[in-house]
Amino acid sequence: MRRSGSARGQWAVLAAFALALPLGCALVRPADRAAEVAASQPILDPPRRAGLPLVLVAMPASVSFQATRQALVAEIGKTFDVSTLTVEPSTPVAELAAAITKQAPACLVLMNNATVRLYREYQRSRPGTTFPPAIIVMTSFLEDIRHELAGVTGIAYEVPGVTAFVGLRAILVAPITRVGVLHSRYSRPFIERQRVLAAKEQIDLVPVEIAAEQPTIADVQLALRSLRAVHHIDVLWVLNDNRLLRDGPFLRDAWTPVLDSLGIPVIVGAAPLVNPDAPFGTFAVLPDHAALGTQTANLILDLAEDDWRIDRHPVELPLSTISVLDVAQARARFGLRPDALNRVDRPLE
Amino acid sequence: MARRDTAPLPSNHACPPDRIPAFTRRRWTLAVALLLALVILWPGSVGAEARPTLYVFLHTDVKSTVLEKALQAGLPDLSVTVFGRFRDFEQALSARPPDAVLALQPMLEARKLSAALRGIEQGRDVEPYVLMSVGSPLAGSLAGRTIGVVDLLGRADTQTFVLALLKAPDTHLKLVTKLEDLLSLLQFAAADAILVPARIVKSFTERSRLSLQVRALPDVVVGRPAVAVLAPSARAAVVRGIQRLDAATNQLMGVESWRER
Repeated sequence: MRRSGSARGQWAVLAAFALALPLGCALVRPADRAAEVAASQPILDPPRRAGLPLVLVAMPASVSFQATRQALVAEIGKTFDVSTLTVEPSTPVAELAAAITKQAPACLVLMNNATVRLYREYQRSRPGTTFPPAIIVMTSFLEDIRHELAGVTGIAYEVPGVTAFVGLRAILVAPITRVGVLHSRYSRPFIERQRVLAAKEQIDLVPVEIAAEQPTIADVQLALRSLRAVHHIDVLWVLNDNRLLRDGPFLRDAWTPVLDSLGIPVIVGAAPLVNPDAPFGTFAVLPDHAALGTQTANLILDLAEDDWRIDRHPVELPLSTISVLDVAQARARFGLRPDALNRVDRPLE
Repeated sequence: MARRDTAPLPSNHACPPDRIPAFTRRRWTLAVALLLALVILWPGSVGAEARPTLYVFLHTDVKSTVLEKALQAGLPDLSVTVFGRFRDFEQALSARPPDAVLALQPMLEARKLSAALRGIEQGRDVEPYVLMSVGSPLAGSLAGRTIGVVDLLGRADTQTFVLALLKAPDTHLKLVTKLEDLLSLLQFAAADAILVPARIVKSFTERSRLSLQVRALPDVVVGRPAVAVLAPSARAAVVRGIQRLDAATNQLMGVESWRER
C-alpha cells in the first residue's frame, strides 16, 4: 500500500503542505513567504565604484531571493555596481521612487509579486515618463502580466511542465505519454503554453479546469477521477495553486485518497510534497534559485550588449531546475530505469 | 566530499554527574583514545583535512553529486569537491586553493595551469563537438544564429573561446549553467542549436523526443578532462589516484585512461 493512513503519515503530509506553499515554486506567491524572511541574512551591497553603471535590485529579504541575488551579483559584479532595496509588504511607492530617482539605475531587477505591484503603481503614477529597463523574476505568471508594464522583460518563475515530464520520463520505466492537470480558470493561458511545449516532446497535456472559485473536496475528487477514468492519463501534474491545494486538511481529504487509487506517478512543484514517510508526490521539479540568478545576469548582460532594447528580449523560461524523487515509491510502483538516480539531484531513499 | 562536523564530544547530559566518580583513570584513557580515533577516522574531520584536496569542474551527463560520489569512492586518499557552476568553482579556487584541479583542458589553460595528467579516449586527448538543432538540419553560416553553450570559463572567456572555436564571430551565444539545461534551450526554442561533445548526443536523443539533428563540425575539437597539480607535495598521491580510477568512473568523464606529461 502506498499510503499507510497512519496518524504519523497524515501529520507528515500536513507538515509537508505547510512547508510546501512557502517554499513552492510554480504558482505560489513569493510575497507570501514570511517564513523565509526570518531566516534571511542582512543584505550587503558591494561598494560603489566610479564610472560603473548600476543595477537596482528591489526584492524581499528572504532566503530564496537572496540566493538568486547572490548569484546575480557574482555574475554582473565586474560590469555593474549593485544596489539593493529591500521591499516589504508595507513599502510605499515613494520609497521605490526615491531609490530610482537617487540612484538612476541602468537597469532594475524586480523580484516577487509585491515588488512588481509596487513598480506597476510607480509607473502608473508617472504617465509619459521613460522608465529604465526592468527585469522581473520570481513572479507568478510573468508572461501574462508583462503587458501591464512598460519596458520590462524577465524570466518566468513557473517551471515548465515539459521539464518535469521529460525529467521523469528519463527516470521511470512506466510510460509517460498523457499528463493530466487540474487548474483554475486564471491558469488557462499558462496551461495552453504548457500544452504546446509538452507536445514538442510527444506528451499530451490533458487539462481539466475547475471553475469554482473555492473548489470543494467533491470538485477535486471528481476531476481527478475523470482524468484517470475518462482521459486515461498516465501521470498527474499537481500545480502549486493555493486555491486548488488550499491547506493541509484539504490536501489530506480531497487529494490524498484519490491519488492513492489513481496508481500513477504524481509530479509536484514543492520539495516537501515528496516525502517517503508520507507519500504524496513522486517527483518534484523546483527552480534552481542560484542558476536563476545566473540566468538573470546573462539576460542583463545580453540587454546591455543590445543597447537595452528590451522589446527584442521576450520573457525567458527558467532553464535550470532541481529534481527530487521519492525513490522507494518510484521503484516499487513505476520501475526505475538503469542509472535513473544519476539524473536526480535529490533522491530521497 | 562535503565536510561533516567533527564527532560530538560527550556532554554532561550524556554522562550524568552522579556517574563521573565511577570512571577510573583507565576508563578515561580508553575513552580519550576512542575519541581520538573517531576524530581521525571521521570523514571530513582532522584526518580528512590532511588529505590533498581535489577540485573538479566538469560538465557530465550525470549530476555533480553523482560524479563527486564516484570520484571520492575512487580517490580515498584525496578530498574531492565537485562544482556544478563555474562561478562557485572560480570563487573556491581563489578563496581556498586546492592541491589539484580536474577540469577540461581549456579551463586549465585559461587559469595558466599546467596539466600533469590528460584524459585519453581512443588515443586522443581532445574530443569532437557537434551542433544539435531541432527540425531541419542547421545548414550554412552561423552568423546571426543563437547557439547554446555551457558556461565553461565564465561569460566573457566562454564567449571568446567558443566563437574562436566555431570561427563565427557574429554568432550569438546563450550560456547555461549545466549540460542538461541545453535541452531546455531547444525545447523552448530559445536557441537555434546547442554545442555539445559528440559523445553526449546519444544521451540527448534517448532523453528527448524532439526531432534532433546533428551537424558535425570537422575542425572543432576541445581538450578532454585533465589534471593540474597546484601543490607539488600532492603530486604523487593525485597522479597515482587518478590513474587508478576504474573504467566506470572514467567513463562518466568521457575518458578511458590518463596520460602523464
